[in-house]
Amino acid sequence: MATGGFGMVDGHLRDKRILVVDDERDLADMVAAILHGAGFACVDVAHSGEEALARADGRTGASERYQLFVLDVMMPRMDGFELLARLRERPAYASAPAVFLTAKDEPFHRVSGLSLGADDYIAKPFLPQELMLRIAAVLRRCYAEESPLLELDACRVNFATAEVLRADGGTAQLTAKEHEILSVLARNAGRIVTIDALCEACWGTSFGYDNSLMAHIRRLREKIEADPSKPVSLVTARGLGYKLVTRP
Amino acid sequence: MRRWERKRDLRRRPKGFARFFTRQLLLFAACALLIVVVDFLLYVVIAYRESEANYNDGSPSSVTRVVDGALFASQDGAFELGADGEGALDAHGAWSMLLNAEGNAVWSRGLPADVPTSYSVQDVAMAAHYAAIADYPAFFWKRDDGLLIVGFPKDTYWTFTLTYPVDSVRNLPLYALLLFTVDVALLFLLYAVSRRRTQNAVAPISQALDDLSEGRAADVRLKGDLREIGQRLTEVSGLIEQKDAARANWIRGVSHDIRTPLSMILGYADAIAGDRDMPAEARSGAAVIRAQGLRIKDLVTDLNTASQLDYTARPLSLERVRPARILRTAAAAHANAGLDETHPIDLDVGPGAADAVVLADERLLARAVENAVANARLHNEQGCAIAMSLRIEPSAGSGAEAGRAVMCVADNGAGASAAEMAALEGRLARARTARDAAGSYGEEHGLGLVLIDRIARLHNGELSLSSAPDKGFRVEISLPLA
Repeated sequence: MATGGFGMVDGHLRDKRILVVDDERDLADMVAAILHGAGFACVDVAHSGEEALARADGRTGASERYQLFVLDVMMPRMDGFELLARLRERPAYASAPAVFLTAKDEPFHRVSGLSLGADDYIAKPFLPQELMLRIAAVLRRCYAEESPLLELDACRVNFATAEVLRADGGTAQLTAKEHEILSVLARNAGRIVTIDALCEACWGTSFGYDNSLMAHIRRLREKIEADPSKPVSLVTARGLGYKLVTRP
Repeated sequence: MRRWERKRDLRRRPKGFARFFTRQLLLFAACALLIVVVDFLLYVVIAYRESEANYNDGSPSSVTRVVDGALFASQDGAFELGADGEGALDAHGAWSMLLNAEGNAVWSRGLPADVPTSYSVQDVAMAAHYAAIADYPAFFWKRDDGLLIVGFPKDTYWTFTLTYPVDSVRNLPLYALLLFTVDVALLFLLYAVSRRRTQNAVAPISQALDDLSEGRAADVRLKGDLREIGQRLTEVSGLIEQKDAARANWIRGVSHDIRTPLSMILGYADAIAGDRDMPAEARSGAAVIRAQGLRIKDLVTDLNTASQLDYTARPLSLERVRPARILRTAAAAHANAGLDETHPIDLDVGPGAADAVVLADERLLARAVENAVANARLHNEQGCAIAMSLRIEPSAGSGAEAGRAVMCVADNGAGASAAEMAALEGRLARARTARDAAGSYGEEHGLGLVLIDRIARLHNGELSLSSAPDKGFRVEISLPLA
């Protein structure tokens, strides 16, 4: 499936093994195709909770463990919530990230899914781009330590040391807040992150930090952009928020 | 009183049921009064007719007068009765005699054997008092030559004498008035008591009907005669509740079942539309499928939201919400879904509006904004620019309200004609009075705007629409500031 147009999945994430579980075979196949198209090499499909557990335990011949589960909520016999609970009982998957796909978008289900430790929750119907971006965001967040390097147009950022290595040869050091803001944007690379979401992620509230955020963004741009007055990596979505454009 | 409160008061239904009974009781009281008045009139008429019949030609006193006029003493001292006197006596089967000053009969005609012919002063006084002589009703006439007595056959007349103090007679009109007043007071008391009883009995029924008509459950427990009606009402309420629940479940089930196939339609259509190896025709066809799929998605979500608003006891979970945040989130989601290529959104948050707070259900308010954006997209499939804005309007009236936050979603697309706008406003007005929003479904515009209107109203706010052909379409949601 040709979804290469998204091009936002970082190289180190492409070899993550993903298991898609949905009793609707066609839908599971389509999600797998979308993930394949976005560059993921190892995507498996299961059509029931039992089959998913068998695959996860390596009983079907696969040797490696999965690094992300995409689970349907409503499945006969064993629903997605129960499947995740069972998976989490296994030491190998005690903290494996999971994304729920569900045909219900009522708040109760959202809460119960997230309280189980799901990392995101995507309501059907969804557009492939939305699915991709959110799965990529979950993977980046959960496997951040494996990719301390962020490749931008005018620099390379090392999140482990908070160092910016500029293309023009200079270096800069990120402050803790700048590091935090850039991490949130990097996790959601390619998506607009609203001012509110950024403030909530960095200060715990979206109220009254607009000016602080703007000041931090300005200093960030001085460190990561070739020309801070014409940003190409940390771009402004006017009135909405910011978007980080990474180098493929 | 604030605007929305007044509107809600206007919407309150009159208690028609109780009013009906009040009217019935009033009618009842009026009937009773009418009976009294008619009785009185009848009495007057009958009394008048009786006196007409008895106190003119045929009355005993007139017979006596005729006899008096026809009785003459001849020159030899004997008395003679004229022909008209005889006629009058014979017509009534009456007798007559003339007593002289000593109480002796000096003339008589047809005197029965048991009537004495000589009277003492006491006899005459008693006879005059009882108007009878030896049980014959008797009438007296004073003449120069004696006392004329005319007697009628036994049991033809009944006489009674009344003796009252003058004061009593003088107070008679007062007594009559008192009687009338007491009657009216009694009637009113009767009316008041039975009205109260009826109201007490009917109030729960009336309340239950009001509850049902406003979509609430009714449980009526009554005693006595109305008990069965109460039971029926409770049954009806249960039936309606069952049907509502069935309908809500049905809508939830259908919308749930549509989501999975729709995901596939959207997914594959999106993939084909974005595949540069595909022929242009196939790609544009797929883009249409994707756009229509998104439209179905909006419809399903709207139907589900409407059903929740209609059938959930407490549909709102209110919290302090910043409209600016909701607009930003909606615009960012729109852009992140890739919809801004054909329908770019520009957001303008007016001075002082960024930190404005309203009391709202965040999810529903977000849904209203998404609907406004979807509406712009739906009616301008070839693309249009969408301008979102937020401004603060100071309160117009007294200090009770802190002002209003106005969220606006305007496009620069095809717009609507005045006739189309009038039809739309008419539809919104009908939807406002409908029992449920989902029930008003079925006209040409889907549920989007109806739902925005519903959500705005649930938040004590208002929806206003404006448009002109080729001048775009403007949706404004104004909510009171918290």
